[in-house]
Amino acid sequence: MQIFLEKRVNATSWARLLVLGAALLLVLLISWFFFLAAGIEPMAAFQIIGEEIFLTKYGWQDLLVKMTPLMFTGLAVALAAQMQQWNIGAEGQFHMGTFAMTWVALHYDGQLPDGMLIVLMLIMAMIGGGFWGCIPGFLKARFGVNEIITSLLLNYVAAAWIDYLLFGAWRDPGTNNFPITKEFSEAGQLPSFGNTSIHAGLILAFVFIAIVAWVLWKTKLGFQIRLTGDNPDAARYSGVNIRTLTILVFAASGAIAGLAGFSEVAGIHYRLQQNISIGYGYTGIIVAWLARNHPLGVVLSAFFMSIVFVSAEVLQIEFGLPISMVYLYQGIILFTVLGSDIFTEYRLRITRFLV
Amino acid sequence: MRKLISIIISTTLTMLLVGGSAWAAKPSVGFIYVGPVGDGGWTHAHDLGRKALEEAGHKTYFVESVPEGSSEGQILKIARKSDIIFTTSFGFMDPTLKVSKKFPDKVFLHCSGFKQSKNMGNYFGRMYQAKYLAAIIAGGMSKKGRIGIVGSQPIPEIIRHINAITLGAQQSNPNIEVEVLWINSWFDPAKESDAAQALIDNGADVIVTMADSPATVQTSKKNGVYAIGNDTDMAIYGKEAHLTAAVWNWDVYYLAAVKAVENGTWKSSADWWGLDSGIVGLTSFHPDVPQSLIVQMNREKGRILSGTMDVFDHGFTKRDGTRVTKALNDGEMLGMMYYVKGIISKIPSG
Amino acid sequence: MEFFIQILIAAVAMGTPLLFATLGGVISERAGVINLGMEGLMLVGALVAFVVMLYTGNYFYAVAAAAFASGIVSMIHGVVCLMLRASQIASGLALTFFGTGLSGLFGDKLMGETVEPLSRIPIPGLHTIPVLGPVLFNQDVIVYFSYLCVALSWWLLFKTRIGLNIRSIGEAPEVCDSLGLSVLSYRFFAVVGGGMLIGIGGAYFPLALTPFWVDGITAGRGWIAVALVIFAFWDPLKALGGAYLFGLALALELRLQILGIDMSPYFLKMLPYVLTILVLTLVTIRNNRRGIQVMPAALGKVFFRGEKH
Repeated sequence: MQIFLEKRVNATSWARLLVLGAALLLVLLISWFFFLAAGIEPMAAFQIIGEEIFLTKYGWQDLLVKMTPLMFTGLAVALAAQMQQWNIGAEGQFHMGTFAMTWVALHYDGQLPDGMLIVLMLIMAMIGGGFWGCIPGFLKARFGVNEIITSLLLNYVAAAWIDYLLFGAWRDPGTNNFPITKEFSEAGQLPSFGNTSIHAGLILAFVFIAIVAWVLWKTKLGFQIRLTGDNPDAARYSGVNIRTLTILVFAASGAIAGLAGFSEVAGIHYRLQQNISIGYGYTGIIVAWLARNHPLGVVLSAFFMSIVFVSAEVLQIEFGLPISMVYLYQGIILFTVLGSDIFTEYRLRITRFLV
Repeated sequence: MRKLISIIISTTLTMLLVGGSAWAAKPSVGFIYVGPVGDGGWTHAHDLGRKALEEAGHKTYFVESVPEGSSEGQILKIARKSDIIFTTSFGFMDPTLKVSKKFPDKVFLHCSGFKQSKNMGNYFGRMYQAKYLAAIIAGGMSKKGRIGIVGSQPIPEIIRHINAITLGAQQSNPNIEVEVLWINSWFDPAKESDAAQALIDNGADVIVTMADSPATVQTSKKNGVYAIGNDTDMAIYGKEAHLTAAVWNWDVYYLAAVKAVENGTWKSSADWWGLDSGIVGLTSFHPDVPQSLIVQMNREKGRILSGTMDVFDHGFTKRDGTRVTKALNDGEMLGMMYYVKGIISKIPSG
Repeated sequence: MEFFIQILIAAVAMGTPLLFATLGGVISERAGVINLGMEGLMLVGALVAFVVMLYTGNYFYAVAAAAFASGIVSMIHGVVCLMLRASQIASGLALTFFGTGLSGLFGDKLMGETVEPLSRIPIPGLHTIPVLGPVLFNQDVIVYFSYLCVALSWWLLFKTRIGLNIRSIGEAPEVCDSLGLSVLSYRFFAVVGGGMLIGIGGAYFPLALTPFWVDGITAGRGWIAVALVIFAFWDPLKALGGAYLFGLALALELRLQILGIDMSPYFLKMLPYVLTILVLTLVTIRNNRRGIQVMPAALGKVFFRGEKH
């Protein structure tokens, strides 16, 4: 007997949808066994998770709030990946975005006309993240240094830089010298919707997803990016300046990751503190991959990852599941989703005899 | 199978009903933890307090390892389930305030912060008093006259404790030298252990840790020197080395606060409870500790308990030589960013 | 002088878990597979080593069990990103979750337990050499084992047919495939073998550095090792130097405070990473001129075998 993978010929979108459905069923099945092993009645767990997430207004709020930074970081990674460039540095670009915008907020709060501060913060976050993204882009374009590695290493540098500021110059004596900055005034805060925690960052995320999708499929620049991703040689012959394009795409990718930081700080925390990102940059890689690097897919996969995170919290609170179980569960779910994705393109063929 | 399901449903319903009726009598309590309950330190101590509430008949909920950067969702969910919510890390302050506004009829209590509202108070314990007393033992037990302190991250709370330890050790040995090494991390057992080793190599023979893991107690045991435990009793990790530990007894506060809410007497306030309440204390002493030292410690303890003396209220000299003559108020203690005289290290400039 | 030697001894102690993990990463990445799940694997190794040590009191069993367990867990990474062709980076992140959870779950009941840490065994003759003797040859047996592992993995990668195949597969899997090498099998064994070494790195924590169990005992060392693989230029011998250098940075952060040198710990933390980027860039420039690749060319790329029909 031999088992091998065979490429689906003319895979229809229906077949893909079917596989996606099957993968979700598999996730549910594995969850079922996991809950049983954890001593939880699976049906009750599904019901409560479903109710908590989808049938309460708080559940929806939480989903949308958690999804916002993931849309940015997922989009950042996906944009670079359209050109076959791997930006593992969204985490660091996120941090440098928060750094640049906080610098503006701390120095120009109250000195600018109405509404200017938040716009300036937004621009600075893009510059901060974009600059941090430029470094691996430049090193790749100019010297051919692998971008996976440089962008990854820059994450550690950015995290230490934020700590340096929080434990040094930016520590606020007004808050008992804790390693947090001063709270921004209202001019530096993104508006929220009514009495919810959902903030304007969500809208911004959709806007940027639309912009990136438009650029990729409706402009010459987007065509060049996709062409370079598909076939760099063809792109080069058709006159694309791959070096410039690489730097540009990395800068844009970094700027979008920086916006994730902007949206979290200006939309939720209103100040810089430790651990603002809980690995959003890294999760963004998973989001982009699940979305097959398609900007619109990013919305769906960010939504899915958000459900995974929120249901983990529900499991802890409702069933007293320890955090270790939750991590284990998240690991298993991610492995399942990652592993089943291949069947949208391939199918298993089992033959009784060697062919 | 159908029978099984009906049994499950009916038992669940009964439990819900029973739970519902108990709800009216005893308020349910929710906890937000910054670390895992298995950290053996800060969060573990809070969780012991939660268990005391369970024993007193309260339904409790908790979420552990909640990241400070993304805690609002968890606080919201806990708040929907419980009547009283304790959030146990400084970084939860702003989100707790935010959520408290959404549930005006529930009580929120935040540990170690300073923001309040009508239904949100904050609480903390005067751990520096316990550290001061433990240090009297440490100072007396040091033969070389040198105490080594493993610091976590340089924030006022830790610096306050280091100063209290120095002042306490000077009670039993006026010439004591205190050396501080910062590991610049909240949690890193291997580095804590290495820091203790470096301090011992440099002449310290009593090690006091500000970090949560028992690594320093272990390292002290290996080197044949003494150690003071942090947050919880760490004697099981090295009873040969463990002189005593300055520990949290959060159950004292949690039971009282919940009772106050239950009786309708609770009012939003900033509670900073001291040694007299029992929220902080010392564990049992190493057999090597001489009775005379315990007597000396008890004398200071008596003065703190009776309110005639506190650690920072009768003047002291800062490391730079300036003299503080008046008693520090709570705000000055909470923002403390300088060392007292007797500490040979400098505060890192960041 | 003694202070100086103490720093170096601490550097070796702090560097040893990093060294094992880096070696594991080097082997895996030489075959073209990135493993970002090192932190999770180290935690699994640490937990299993501690449990086995607690119940058997035998260091050998503890190390072997740690290697075995993390080998098994890294098989998941192998299956997901090799056979099911998922993104190596995403799969590695899932592995971090998985390993952290697994170790936390089974470590739940171990609070308060301790084991006897490894003691130092001086190597006769060698330990009297000035400086090097006390630093390198008066260590515990796992440190000596790490020297052996460095030598063996270097020999394996650069002096054997298997090593040549592994390296070729990391460079040009399509070519190797057409030459009849099984790309997936080699990669799978590199991932599992590397995973075992990473697990031993984790085992060093409860067996030598911190002989007890707390959640997350490795405190992020797995992530440092991810960077160290690059710093070592995918070379076991450089991994030795790199791991000790990072260990030295950790030891120096504390000892500089003793010397009263006020150096920001945050810049000290950044330094190794900035250096790595600089050196990597310089070496890439130099090698570009000579036309040599510094890193495995197929690193991180999913291998699609030519389709059969």
